[in-house]
Amino acid sequence: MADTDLKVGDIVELVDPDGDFPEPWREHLGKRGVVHWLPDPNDPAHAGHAGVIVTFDDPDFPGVSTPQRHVRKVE
Amino acid sequence: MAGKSIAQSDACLNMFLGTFPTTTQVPATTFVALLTTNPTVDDGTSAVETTYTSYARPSIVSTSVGWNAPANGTGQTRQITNKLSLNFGTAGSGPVTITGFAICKTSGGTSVATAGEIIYWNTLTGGNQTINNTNPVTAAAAALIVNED
Repeated sequence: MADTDLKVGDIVELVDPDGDFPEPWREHLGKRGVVHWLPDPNDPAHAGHAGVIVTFDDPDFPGVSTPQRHVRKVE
Repeated sequence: MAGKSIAQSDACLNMFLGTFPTTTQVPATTFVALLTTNPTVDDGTSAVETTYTSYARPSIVSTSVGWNAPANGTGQTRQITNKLSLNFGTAGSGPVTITGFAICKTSGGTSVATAGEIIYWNTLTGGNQTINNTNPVTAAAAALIVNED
């Protein structure tokens, strides 16, 4: 199961634990990036959101906004 | 007509009265909704958001990480586009027909039909898109176009 204990700045990789990773992105599975944004638990506008923004050092694929279960922290 | 909501238009116009947009009008993080009915009035209250199984509004940060710099659009317009690829969730039901997108203030707790929730909306380049069960639903970088004329 993807790591949900994330913090901004964590190094993560794209994973597909539930088999629903977007097909157009599959070539990027395993790509490592940096967590840029997580929902603010103190902001009502973010209530219930389970997403994450990850940025990559790749000008052709600079980043994604996707569910947190699609990333895993790299130890 | 696609474009800014009434609230956002007023925020721009109010700059001439010395009142500049605040983070309550364009939050540090916005969320993208997919619409099955586009607004017919600029307060957004006639908009309808899709509800296919596993759908969720992805987030975009209101910085150069989330958006590309302004550039020429069609005709005399200027535009910005999304820098990140967006995942709306692989459909667990369908079919539904998506007619447009909306930049919203909340992650989904507020309906798109609530006045002030939509900051901006637009139709889809290439026309309406049908989503079927099991389809991945994503937007590539630069797929969302926010125009200003």
